[in-house]
Amino acid sequence: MRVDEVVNMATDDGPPLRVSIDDIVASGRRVQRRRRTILAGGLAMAAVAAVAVTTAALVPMGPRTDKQPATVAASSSPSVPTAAAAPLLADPLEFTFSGYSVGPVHVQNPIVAGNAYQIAAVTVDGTTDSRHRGKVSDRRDMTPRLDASLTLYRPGAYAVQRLAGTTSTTVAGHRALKAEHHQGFGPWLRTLAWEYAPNAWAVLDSSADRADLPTMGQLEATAAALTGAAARPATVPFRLSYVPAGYDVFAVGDHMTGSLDAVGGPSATEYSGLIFARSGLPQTGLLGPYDNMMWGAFQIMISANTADSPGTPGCDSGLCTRLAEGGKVTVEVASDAGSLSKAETMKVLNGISLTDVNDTKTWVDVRTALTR
Amino acid sequence: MARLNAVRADEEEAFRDFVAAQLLPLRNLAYVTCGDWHLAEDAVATALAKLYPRWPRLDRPDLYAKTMVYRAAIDERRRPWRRERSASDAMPDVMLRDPATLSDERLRVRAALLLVPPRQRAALVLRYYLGLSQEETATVLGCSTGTAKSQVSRGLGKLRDLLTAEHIELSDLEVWSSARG
Repeated sequence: MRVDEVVNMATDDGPPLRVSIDDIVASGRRVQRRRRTILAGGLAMAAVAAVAVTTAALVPMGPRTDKQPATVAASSSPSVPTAAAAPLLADPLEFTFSGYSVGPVHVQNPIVAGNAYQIAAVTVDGTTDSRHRGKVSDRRDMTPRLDASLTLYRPGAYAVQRLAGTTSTTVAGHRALKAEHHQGFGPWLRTLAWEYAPNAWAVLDSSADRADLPTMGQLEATAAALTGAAARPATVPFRLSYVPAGYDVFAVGDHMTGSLDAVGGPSATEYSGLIFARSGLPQTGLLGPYDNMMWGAFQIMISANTADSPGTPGCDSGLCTRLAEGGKVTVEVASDAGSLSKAETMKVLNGISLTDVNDTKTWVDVRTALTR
Repeated sequence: MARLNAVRADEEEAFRDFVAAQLLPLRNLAYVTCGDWHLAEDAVATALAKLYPRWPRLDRPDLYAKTMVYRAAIDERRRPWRRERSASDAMPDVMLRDPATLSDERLRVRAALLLVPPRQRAALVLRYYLGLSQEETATVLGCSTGTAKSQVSRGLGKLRDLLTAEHIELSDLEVWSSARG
């Protein structure tokens, strides 16, 4: 038997493909569009991070809108710290903590809230992230690259058994587990998970191309400093008159899609994202946040119609688009893996009524937005 | 369509042809690397979606796609936290003996292949199943040609030993590979 015959025999009874060529092309178009959007908005945010305050001691971020461009001020502004910390656990679709810093490590305001988790980007002074163009090998600037996030899972949502066998520790008296991995030329990967409430885990993940950005000790100090803030409902700049049967909101993104894209922080040109999923989508025992290609879900994206990322009205490969506000705003509904028919996708798209995307005071609680 | 300016219609058609031809071989590469069909398909779908905007600028999209798929599969496999999926989905393939000879042999062959270290079995797939040269295999694996040769050689030895234990003989690969150039 030859090696190719070995491989054929080992693989020729694989399950049927779940994705089609159309699905991949549609996802590719969204990747193309998102890259432009994130690059345009993300570079601005990187500049903000570079001037962010940092001292050796713990510095609660509190209201930090003065350090952010007005265009990316999150609709869910950080609450003013109170004497007694609010609980981290509240209703789904609410933000329950605010950005803060521990030395060079900065936890941003959470910008995704959902039925399973909240996500906040984490930055470290002196690093950039994967929103920048090019591979590590061909980047001319040698700024260390870091992608990091804090994910606050709801009870039961995180599959902590994935960390079985890793190192036990404690974070502010809570049970915790930590793992580090590095191999060859790959990134330094670190995970710190701690049980902030019964069966509810918070997880700091980092992937860096340098060993000490951040160190596990810095992650542990950052974890210990996490406190709750007054719960703030996730809001969106629109109302929606139609949701297909069997679907419900899974996650909301504030100035970002409601996905793992949140790791990159808020975008100046991405106003809002809303992911709907069928009731069968696993929301417990998750290995991590869902990324932006959730096969079988659909999502709404509200963004600026810019030269870098121009909107084109119409429907193609599961992505239906229309322009609003005199052509300044792009409204899109994306159906992954043919989850919705074209007619249903258009019905969702036409059921979206915008508020003022630039004035977060006009945005509405996502639950109110979906009142049919 | 304005949003598609970076990928022209004729280029998109070529991309579609590429995906049609490569989807299954790439999924097999990912599966052999990570040992999980669902994870393999996710890795391939994500890699190809990310390839789309780069398509017009690549001289060797086939190598680029194989590299992305290999890295996605190997990265996800070695992470203690794997993204995007429920732990309940991560069920191992059932490895029970079947009275049917073909099915039984398939299970034994698959089990043997998946016992070869991941990087070595990816090297075998790239070299002998996808037909890459030593240099191309090294490019995809992200290592020197010498290291790639070493991975292939060690993988062959390991696979041969494992199959021999199952009373299955691996062909004379030197003759076969030299015939492929």
